[in-house]
Amino acid sequence: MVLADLLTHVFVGYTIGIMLSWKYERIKSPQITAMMIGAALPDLVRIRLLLNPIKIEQFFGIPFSWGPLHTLGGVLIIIAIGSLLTVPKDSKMIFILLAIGAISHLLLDSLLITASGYSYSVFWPFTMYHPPTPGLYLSTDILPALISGLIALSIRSLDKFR
Amino acid sequence: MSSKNSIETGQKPNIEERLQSLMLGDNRLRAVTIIVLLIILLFLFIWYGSLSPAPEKGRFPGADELVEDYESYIGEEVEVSGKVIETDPVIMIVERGDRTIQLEIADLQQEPEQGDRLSVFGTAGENNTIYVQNAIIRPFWRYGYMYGISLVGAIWIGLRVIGQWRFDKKDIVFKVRKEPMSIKDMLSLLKRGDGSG
Repeated sequence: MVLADLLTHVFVGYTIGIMLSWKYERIKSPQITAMMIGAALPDLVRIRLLLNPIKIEQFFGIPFSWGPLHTLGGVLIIIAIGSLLTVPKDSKMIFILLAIGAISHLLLDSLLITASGYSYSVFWPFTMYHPPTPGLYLSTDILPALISGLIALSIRSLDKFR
Repeated sequence: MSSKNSIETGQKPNIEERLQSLMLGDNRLRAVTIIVLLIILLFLFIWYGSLSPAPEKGRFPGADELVEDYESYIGEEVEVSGKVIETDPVIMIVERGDRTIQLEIADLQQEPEQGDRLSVFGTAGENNTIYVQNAIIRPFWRYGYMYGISLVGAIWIGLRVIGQWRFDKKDIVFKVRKEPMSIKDMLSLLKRGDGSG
């Protein structure tokens, strides 16, 4: 599966967070952090580097994949759990912030170059369809982090002016 | 399973009420909801692991299928990645857990070097040979860059979380700190921890 570098996603979450804070008073620095966490969440799928799913399959004798963590359905469950672990009166807002961040991540990753020209099962389990990707960049490219970093920096300086 | 039922039946008529008691901090209901969500997540992990390729949906046979049983995919379009171990002809090794398969890559337009990571889309042929339609070559050091810079992102989030949020053990929730903790505070806390422990 293809993943963009985490830093690019965090920059994007940070940028959206600051822009939302211009419109909504309740969004301050800690809420922007929540947005950044959301933008990083789908990369929890990298847990497979530590806990090999094939070893899990062999041990328990059942099919197993961490893949759902990098799909809409799996990430929504993680977000629901996360927002239940915040103060009840804020949990709805936290859910929305985490979800915006996570969806930005899944969308960005659906633009990654693949050999077949199809991305990944973005909307699973609602559909298994892999949408065709425009193939904008590779996860190992340096440009995405540079560009998103520059945008984040300019938004940040705009924010300081306000 | 009675706990699960109470959620399911409660969803239709009393959703407002349920939501309200969630909001009011009904810890038992909260715990049950989290457990149910975790069970659903586990079910998704197993379900996803059992999915078969579906080329019409853009999901082509890959490493899992080819390592297990290459022969039965001959003639089909496959999408697979591996490490280049020979360059003339190009041969890459594809891993799945402890098991591996070596594939010869034919019709490749580019010229990879040994150690490069190669992703190919093409047709599986006889003698473990893939006839390539499209390929992506990445030098291995690029992965070092990707993981390095990802670590920077993770540390940035980590520092912000520790500085701005705290876990309230009594209410079992994360709360925003009234006074954010600076990096200096974090370091001195760490030092104090070392001193006393």
